[in-house]
Amino acid sequence: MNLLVIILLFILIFPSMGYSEIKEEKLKNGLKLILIEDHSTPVSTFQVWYKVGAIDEPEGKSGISHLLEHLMFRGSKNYPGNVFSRIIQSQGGIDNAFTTKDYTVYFQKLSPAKLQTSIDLESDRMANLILLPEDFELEKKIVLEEKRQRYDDDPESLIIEEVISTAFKNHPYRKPVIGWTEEIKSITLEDLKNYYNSYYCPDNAFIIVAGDIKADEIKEKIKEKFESISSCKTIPPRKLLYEPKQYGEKRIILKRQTHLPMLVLVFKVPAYPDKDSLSLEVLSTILGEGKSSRLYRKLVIEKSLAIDVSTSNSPLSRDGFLFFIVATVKNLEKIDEVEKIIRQEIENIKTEPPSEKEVEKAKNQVEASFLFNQDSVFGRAMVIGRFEIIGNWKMIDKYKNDIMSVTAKDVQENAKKYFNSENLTVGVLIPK
Amino acid sequence: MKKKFFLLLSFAIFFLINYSIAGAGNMEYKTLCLKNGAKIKYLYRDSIPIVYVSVLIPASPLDEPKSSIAYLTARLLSHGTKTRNAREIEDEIDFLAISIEEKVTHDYTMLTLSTTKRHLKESIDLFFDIITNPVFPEDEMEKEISILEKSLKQMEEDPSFIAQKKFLNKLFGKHPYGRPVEGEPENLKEISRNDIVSFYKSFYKPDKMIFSVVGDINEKELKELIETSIYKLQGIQKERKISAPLFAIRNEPVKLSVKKDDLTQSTIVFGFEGISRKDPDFYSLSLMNYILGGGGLTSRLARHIREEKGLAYSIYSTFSPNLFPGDFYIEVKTKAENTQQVLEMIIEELKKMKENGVTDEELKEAKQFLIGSFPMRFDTMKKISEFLPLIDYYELGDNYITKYPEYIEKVTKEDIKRVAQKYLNTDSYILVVVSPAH
Repeated sequence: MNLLVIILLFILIFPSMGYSEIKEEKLKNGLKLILIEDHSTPVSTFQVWYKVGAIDEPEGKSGISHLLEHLMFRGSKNYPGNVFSRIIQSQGGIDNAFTTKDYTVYFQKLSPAKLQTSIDLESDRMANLILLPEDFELEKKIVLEEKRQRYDDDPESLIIEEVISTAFKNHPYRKPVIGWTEEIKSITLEDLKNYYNSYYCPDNAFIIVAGDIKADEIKEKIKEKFESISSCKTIPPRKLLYEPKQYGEKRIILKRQTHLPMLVLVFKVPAYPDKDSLSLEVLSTILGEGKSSRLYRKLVIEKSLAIDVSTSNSPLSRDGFLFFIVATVKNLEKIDEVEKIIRQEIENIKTEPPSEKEVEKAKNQVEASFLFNQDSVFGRAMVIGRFEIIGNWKMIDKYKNDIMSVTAKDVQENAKKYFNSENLTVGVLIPK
Repeated sequence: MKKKFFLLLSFAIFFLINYSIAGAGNMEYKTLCLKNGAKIKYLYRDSIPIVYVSVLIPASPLDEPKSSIAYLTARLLSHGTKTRNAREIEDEIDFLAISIEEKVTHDYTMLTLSTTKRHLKESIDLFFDIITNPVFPEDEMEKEISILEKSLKQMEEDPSFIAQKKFLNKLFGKHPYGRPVEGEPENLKEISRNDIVSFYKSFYKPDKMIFSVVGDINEKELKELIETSIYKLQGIQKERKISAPLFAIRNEPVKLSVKKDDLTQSTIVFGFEGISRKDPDFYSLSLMNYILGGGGLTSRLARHIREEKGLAYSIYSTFSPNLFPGDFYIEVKTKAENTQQVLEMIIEELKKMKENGVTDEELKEAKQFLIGSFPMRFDTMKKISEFLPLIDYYELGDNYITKYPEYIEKVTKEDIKRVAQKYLNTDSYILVVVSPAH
């Protein structure tokens, strides 16, 4: 299929995906508002995104972003005490938050008529968080329980974390979002206060409101509460993200109490707007997304060596992350054979470009995932937010254009460029 | 379209795992009854060019002669039809970028097709082909059983799975509610292709199927594409011979312990008998559960054990209102040395609930949450598609969505205390603790 045809196809595919109903505005203190009107269901979501995550943490303080996220629910000047979720829930809403390597998000889902509650609560904790020693100690204990539950007692998560931290020797992506136990313990209340004061301010955040709303009305209400919050004195300069050259592949072997062995191969890859990331996105679909993908066919169906295999790439990260190939292997004796087949499939794509049909399949999946994503007001806001984090939500149109113009040859070239031993780390989980 | 679970794990950490509660707006769906007995719930929405088609089949572990049959039958539908082999079906699903999900619960089986409008015709054709013409090839069945066996053994390494499985097994005995819908690895070798074929022939009949169609599909298309396809299904479902569980009488607590290597936490499951979906106590129990442990961080258990003492990250209570009475349990994970303390705190909370009930304020806030968040249960077309057949199946009434607030409002403090005393069995509960071996 030539480029022209692809572009025409693209125009036909995405007619309803214009984002003209999205409005944006920047307040005087630097806080950006992104408002998405969608009247198909009587619900709405209010999200505050802080441009800070594990990637920004000072050395020796891993887990501080996530610990602060927990403390954000322990009270602010006008809403002291552990009342945040209680107030939201008593308005029929649901609230939660999550921390990633790149950013931290606080959100509510609630009736559009109740959005003022979100505005009042979120503006107060952006400006006037109360950090008490007793809450701080309690949340540390809770986070350590969370770490035990999510990682220490879960071998499948543990191997993934171990592979990530082995793949990078210097880049902050090596650190788990939850932090290292000893470092979590060493964080002081003073550290948290500094971190909050440095990063939790309007010019390092943006708000997304989506759903059955009137954009102009909600904008005024947000302005009233948020515009008086002071900008950051100085946002700490972004760290220079640097990963030294890797000499040869790395390997980690983990023995734990589990039934099935797992094999994890990761390659260091770039992030969008580097267009290579999109060829790799197409490659991920071809190699390991869905039952018709090459690796699934070979390992699960034809050879019956694995019970599952999948691949993933994360182009929407603030810096280049990892391309994952994860296989759950049936028997310990077969783990070498599985690895050999995966490596062979990688070689195959390097020597011969994928078929036009495989590339078209990948593009169909991209188109469909954008459409299905719009079914949820919350999901839609999340996608917009992730683009805003890497630069600007308006990049979404260029992203779609760029991915639609990926060719079979691009896929082959990028497999050659990135799938080599200087980028590779292998993790093996072996049952004890 | 595979979900990238493992990346989520490594990239993001959620503050808490969410509640199961969520709710409804202007949903004026139509119900069509076809001549072969099938029903269609239809809701037109053209805001996005996508369509969901779900079908509920009243067939579940309740009907199966051997464990895993209901699950495997649903799984194997897409592994070959009279005109397509398994690989062709997988190719078509991925190329069209659609999904066909099978969900088997203890009460029913549901299949859901998600498709873009652009591929509507091809995807409907495929969806109905796998429902109408599956051939269950022997080699595909063997492959699927081998994968299932390995997956189940892997699940049996998960402390939560172990604790819940043991609890349900003790509570329900040999009744199908007492085992996972996927079955048990040791029984898989007894399954033959005949078992699957006969289950399909007995239960996958149109007269009891409830379809729902939601999205960008007009009435003409509904008639031409969906109704015509449903009419290709023929026959009458075999009568379901299903029965309620017989609970064994316990005169004292039953305590089960499992030791496992490499753990740092204990997983505690503490529970007893619950209610059926048709039980008039459903709304009172929903509110009581919300206040006790179903309401996320604001519930009493989370407040006292997590928020005030820092003893756990995850703690909740839940119940399964099925066709027949289900279970009610509390699950918590805590550092091994705190096990006894946490256990005592749970029992104390249950006793307090039985003795003192709830405050006016607690009840008011719980009602506000359940009513206010109700529309969020239907805030995507996919959720609507999967919910509409349930209204029919559990006989909730076509006015259920508008009546729900009224059902909740009617509950009084006395009702809450009464259901707490009736169901929170602090004298002869079942307790399972999965804890570190050393």
